[in-house]
Amino acid sequence: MSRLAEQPASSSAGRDALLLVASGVRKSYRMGDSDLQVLRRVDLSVKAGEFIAIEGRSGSGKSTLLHILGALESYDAGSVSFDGQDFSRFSSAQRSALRNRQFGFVFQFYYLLPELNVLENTMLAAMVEHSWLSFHASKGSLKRHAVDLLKRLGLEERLRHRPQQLSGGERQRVAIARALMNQPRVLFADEPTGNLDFDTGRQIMNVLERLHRQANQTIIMVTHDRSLARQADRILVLKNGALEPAQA
Amino acid sequence: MYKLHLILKYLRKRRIAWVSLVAVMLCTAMVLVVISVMGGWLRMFRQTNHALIGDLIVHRYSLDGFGHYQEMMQDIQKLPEVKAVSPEIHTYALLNIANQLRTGVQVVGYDIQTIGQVNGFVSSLHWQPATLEEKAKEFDRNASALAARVPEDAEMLRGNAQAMRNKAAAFPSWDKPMAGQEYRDLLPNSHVDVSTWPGIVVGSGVIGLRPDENGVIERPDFIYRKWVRLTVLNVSESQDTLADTRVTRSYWLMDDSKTGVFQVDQNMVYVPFDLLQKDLNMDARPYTDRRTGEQKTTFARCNQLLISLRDGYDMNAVQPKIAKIVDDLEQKYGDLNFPDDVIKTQTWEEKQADFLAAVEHEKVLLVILFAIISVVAVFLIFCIFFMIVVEKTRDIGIIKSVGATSGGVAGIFLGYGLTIGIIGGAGGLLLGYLVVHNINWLHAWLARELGVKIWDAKTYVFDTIPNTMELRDVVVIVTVAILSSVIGAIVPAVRAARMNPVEALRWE
Repeated sequence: MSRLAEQPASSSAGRDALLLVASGVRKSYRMGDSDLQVLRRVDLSVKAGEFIAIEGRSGSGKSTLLHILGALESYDAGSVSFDGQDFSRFSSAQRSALRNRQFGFVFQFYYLLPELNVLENTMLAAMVEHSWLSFHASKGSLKRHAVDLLKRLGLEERLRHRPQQLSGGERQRVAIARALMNQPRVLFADEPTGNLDFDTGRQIMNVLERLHRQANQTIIMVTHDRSLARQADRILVLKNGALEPAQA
Repeated sequence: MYKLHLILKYLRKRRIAWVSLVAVMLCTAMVLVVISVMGGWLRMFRQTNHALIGDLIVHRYSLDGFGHYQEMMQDIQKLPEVKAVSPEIHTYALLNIANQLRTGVQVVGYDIQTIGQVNGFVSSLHWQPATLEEKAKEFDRNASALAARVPEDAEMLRGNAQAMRNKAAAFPSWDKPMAGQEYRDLLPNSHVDVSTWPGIVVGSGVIGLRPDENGVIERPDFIYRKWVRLTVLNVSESQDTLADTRVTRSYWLMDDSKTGVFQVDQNMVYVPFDLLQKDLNMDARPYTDRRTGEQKTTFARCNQLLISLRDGYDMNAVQPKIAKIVDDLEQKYGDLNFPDDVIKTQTWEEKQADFLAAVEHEKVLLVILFAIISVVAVFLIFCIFFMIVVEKTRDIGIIKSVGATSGGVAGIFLGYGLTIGIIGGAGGLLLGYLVVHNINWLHAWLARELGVKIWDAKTYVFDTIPNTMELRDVVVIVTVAILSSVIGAIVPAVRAARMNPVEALRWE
């Protein structure tokens, strides 16, 4: 069940298919009387199984780009397509379904629901996907999958704990488990170590790296830390609203 | 799935939601109590007035009454819709009970054989066949116990038991509940046979019988061994003055009547129709015409005819037929009506129109009150849910980021409102039921412990607070409570649904 273990190392055939393509994406925010142009022309092609790191200074628009690629936010111009289908043709419900079944998100501040325990937070995407009846029909297997994910992330002792009872690293691992619950084709990670100390951040990066290597997981990570970005297959820098390859 | 899961989680973990739940519960309970008490009062008011009057009434305002009523009764009784007709006389009187209580009362003369078929008087009496039989058995037991030691007393008790059984067999009747010897022994020095005095029924309030906090009235045996003197002032059309028209008659207090209507029970006494008619000179009697010297007979009079209809007939449809009978008799005799005080034929609703109009206004007030409370509940839910949505903004972003649709997010908060409405409504129903069911005990406790007396029988007519709930009221009130909760949650739910997930995640 888990992509952390079951799938073999990335195959060259899977890596050639274009999964996510952004072309000429522009995005601006209204700030008082003027527009703040954050993304001027972003072009990006992501192959299945790629691990891409996007660097940039604070306020450069990295997170905005990640949210646009993850169908969380709209854009002003250009196009974004997933599996050859343009986002602009998607209804709001289809975008929601995309986020639920194809994408997974890991945020800097974890964003776990405080009322739910670790297991429930992990199963949230599955709960969203299933109706009450179908969830209960497959509850056993879903629960086993969630527990398996959490075990592999070293959280088997924390299943009934609430987010506020966990350390930062543990919370982020729960967030990763939640993101992986529905076996997404793309995992978006927005400064996943930004709120953690060095060692914990390193552990989280190891998890992502292992996920990429062992499960061929496509990952798009935003970071401002070059040392973390180096673990990706490709490093891009967002500068002046456009992506460019990182200098060696 | 996630909606129900989150609703239940939020319900358990968010204490602020409990505030809205308690608010819905209290609003529901309050409306249930008010509607049940006031609605019950309105129903009792209508039922009691109907029970006191019957379906239709023929009456004249003046205490003179009107004549030819027997012929009128016969004609009315011929109508197929009419079940029974009973004549009634009423006037004012001075009451003296065994020199212990002297007061002014309204005295009503009823024909006991027919009155039970037109109004609720007979069922308002304390002595019913079952209670008479029970008392007779008690007399028998006491007689058996005394038989060996005091045989005379035992014999008296057996006589009383027999009188009780006779009265039960003849029910309803003006028969006294004890043996003649018992009455003679009560007034041994009297120079007349006091056992022949007729019986009188008094309103329970006249002799101070009041229900305790459990609604039970204690009636000591001595009550029904009191003599009563009733002084009436007779009124006749030929007399210009009330001087020298006083008539006093002795009775035995034989029973008490509790209609539940405070003013009636507090002020009325009841005597046999024919005796009161005679005492008031309203019976047929010979007289000499002063102008011609001719010997004539006055016609017997009564004040009103109470009429009941058979089941299934509309009193408004029958009313014109009876009015025509009255008019025809007026045409026939010419002396039946008086220019300024005609005989009226009315339905009981027309007779009590002034009171019923006030009652209808009360109903309108209740509806307005209900509407205001519903609006308050809606605003309360709205405010609390708005706070919850603001507080949960980041959670909304999280839920949307894992794929929840806008409709799904709205569903969480609408379902949350629905759940609070259902639980609050159910809690309010339980609380309201407990309060309504025990309201007379609560009222008595408040009066005893805190000196707070809200329900005054003088104002609200009835001496007990209505304590029943109508299923229809319950269904409407709980449904409105649930709807109010959902309506209050609509705007916050829409706000939550329309949130941009990224802005929601960044919200601090």
